[in-house]
Amino acid sequence: MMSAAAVTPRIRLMAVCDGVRESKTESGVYHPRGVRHSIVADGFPHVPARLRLFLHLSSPRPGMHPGYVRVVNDRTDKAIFHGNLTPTPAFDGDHAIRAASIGLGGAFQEEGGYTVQVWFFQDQGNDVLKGEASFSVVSEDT
Amino acid sequence: MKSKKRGARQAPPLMEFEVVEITDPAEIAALEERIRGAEAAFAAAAANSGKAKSVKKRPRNGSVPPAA
Repeated sequence: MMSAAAVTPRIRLMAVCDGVRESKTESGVYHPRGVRHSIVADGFPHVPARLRLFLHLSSPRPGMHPGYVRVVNDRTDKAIFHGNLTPTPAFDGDHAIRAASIGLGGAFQEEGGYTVQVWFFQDQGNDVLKGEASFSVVSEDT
Repeated sequence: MKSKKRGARQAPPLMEFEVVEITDPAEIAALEERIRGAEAAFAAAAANSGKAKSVKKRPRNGSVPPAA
């Protein structure tokens, strides 16, 4: 039985990191730097100098897929950051998989676990959560 | 000039997104409302999926249900 093609892009890979560089010698190869599951903060509120999300998105359908990113404090279940993806993710139909690097913002008010969520809008129906990545913020003093 | 990058035609460049922070409280509230709606719909779908499973497990015609 064939599964139905997703209406919104799928997230094949997701990592919180400091940055991503594209290979200079080979197409379709990327070098994430500082892939992390924790951030050490020297005080609170803490605003990281660099924080990015590295994604592999796939979509068999050409089109524009507007979406947004949310960073949630796991203890309070409240979002500390909301942001729209700019420009709107687009697929041309020729390349089903695309790599993406997303700059994240937000001020971390306390130590603890946080989750980055990637959501996409749909023309019909509810927004869909397509990917989550968890990481922790720890104080330098602990 | 011809690209020296191997497989240059196979993959498009890295998509670079900057996230534009939403600071308008009304816009954040609307977004959170959409998320609550999506989560409620997901929970309802999961509950229905559980029901469908239990329906599947019901004894078929002619079979004997297990003793209580």
